[in-house]
Amino acid sequence: MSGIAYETVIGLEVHVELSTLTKVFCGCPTEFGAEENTHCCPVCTGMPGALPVINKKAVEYAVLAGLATHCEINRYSKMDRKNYFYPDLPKAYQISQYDLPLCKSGFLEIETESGETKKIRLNRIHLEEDAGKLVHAPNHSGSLLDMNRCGVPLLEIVTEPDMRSAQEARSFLESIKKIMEYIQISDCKMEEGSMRCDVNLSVRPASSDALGIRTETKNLNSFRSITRVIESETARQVQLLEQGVPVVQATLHWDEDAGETSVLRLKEEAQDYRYFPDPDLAPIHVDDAWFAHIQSFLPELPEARRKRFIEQYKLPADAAALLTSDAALADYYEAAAETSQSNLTACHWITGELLRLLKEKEVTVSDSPIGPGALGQLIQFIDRGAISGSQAKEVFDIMASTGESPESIIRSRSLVQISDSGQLEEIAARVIQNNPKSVGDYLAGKEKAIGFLVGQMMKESKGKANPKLAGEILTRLMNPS
Amino acid sequence: MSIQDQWLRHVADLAKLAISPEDEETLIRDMGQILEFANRLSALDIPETPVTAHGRPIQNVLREDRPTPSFSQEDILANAPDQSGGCVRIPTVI
Ligand SMILES: [Zn+2]
Repeated sequence: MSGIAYETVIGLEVHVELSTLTKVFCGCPTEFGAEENTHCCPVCTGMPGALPVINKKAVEYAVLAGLATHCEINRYSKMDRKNYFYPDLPKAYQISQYDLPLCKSGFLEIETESGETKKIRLNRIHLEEDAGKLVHAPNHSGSLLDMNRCGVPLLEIVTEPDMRSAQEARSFLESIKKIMEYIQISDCKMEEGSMRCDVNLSVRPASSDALGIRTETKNLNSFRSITRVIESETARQVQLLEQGVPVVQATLHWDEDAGETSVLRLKEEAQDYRYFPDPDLAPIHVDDAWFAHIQSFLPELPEARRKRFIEQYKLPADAAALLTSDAALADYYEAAAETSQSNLTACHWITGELLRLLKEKEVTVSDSPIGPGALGQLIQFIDRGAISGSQAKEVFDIMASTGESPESIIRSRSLVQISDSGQLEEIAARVIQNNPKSVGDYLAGKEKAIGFLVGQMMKESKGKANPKLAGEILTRLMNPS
Repeated sequence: MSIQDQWLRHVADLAKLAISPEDEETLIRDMGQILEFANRLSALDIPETPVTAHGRPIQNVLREDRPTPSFSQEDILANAPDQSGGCVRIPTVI
């Protein structure tokens, strides 16, 4: 080792599958998991003479993605053919966008390891079509092609080389995923291939501003592979530079099992794809009326919502970030806070008990066994002092397993907390009489003794005494004024 | 290898064509003529003409996101030279 410190420079190309019902240029369904070659027609299988027509919703989703990521929208855009031969592409070209992508020059903010906010610039977002799926035929008897994926609409989100670590790349992808889910244009399920990523990576001496020669590792579909690629490619390139061997610009394939990259092909130049405007597709003009219509679908985004949660509900920053990390969870919180009329208690129960329950049951918040209204009601009982904290947990668990309302649980199991002063005074008097030593300790200035006495009251009342009131009454009875 | 040779092979490679040595000379000459012809367009001075993306003055030919029936698997595979398990079978590429 020469002792030079190196810096990794990472740019990402993220492919996100749009959740339209139909493909981008034909009416075939996009649904995942269908029988092979049953979602195909002459358009998506590239039959000569078939005419593609652009899915309006796919265009709107792309524009929405641009608006959500601070992009400039190209009001005049077009589709181009990207020509290359590979058997997963029956037309021998992919319809994509070359020089007039729908969105350009955006940015996203991520949080770095040190907790700072960092801007990741987006070069562009364009609309394109997916290719088919190739698998090995049994006994090495060839490859098998399923064309159901051909023509499924994708967004390609291209960043500038602004990331410096696997952690930053991960933050960026999580942020993209969160935004796409918020604007409801993709479910970004990596395991189903609806979010994939190419990693462009180069290394350079930490002191240098010039970019090194980069490689592009294709088609990564898990955070784990992306992290491993970044680590292994960084190490490989640093080793080459240390040996004085230049890095060769190439497209790489990642072998998850071997944990290494191999050269897929030497890098093509853009001109090798012989891009040209698709003569079968008319250009797209997003006029003011259409633009305003698309804009009206733009919901409050995660960042803005997080800030509002801190301001409006006075939540701690970390709780606000956690609650707004998922649009459905944020909706849940707002509904529960409204019913309960108690922003902080609702926050406390959702970030604690509710998330624990969801994790335990392995369900998403949308499938929560306890709805936000029911949780809100439970919180009302707690805040009114009708039930104690430990009783509330008991009620919560019963709600989770039976779906009963908190009111009926509290009634049918006579869980109501004793908040009646008359009743509590009686119990307090008994406890004072039976524990002269603790009373003496308390009167001698040992404040802690009150805790023991409250405990005794809880015991006497079988846990039903309101502990706060019990303490107050004990103090009053022992300090006759 | 001359520049033209390299260039021809590169284009042939992109098009996945095998070119016989006898054809090379003719092809290099033909391609040169085609390029020369195309270059005449670049030589035109037409600053007033907007960049055109389509041969006809149309835009926004769009469809709603409504499913239409796909073809049957049988019909889709009818043109395939070989098939297996509902897929098109092709020479090994992966
Ligand atoms: Zn189709």
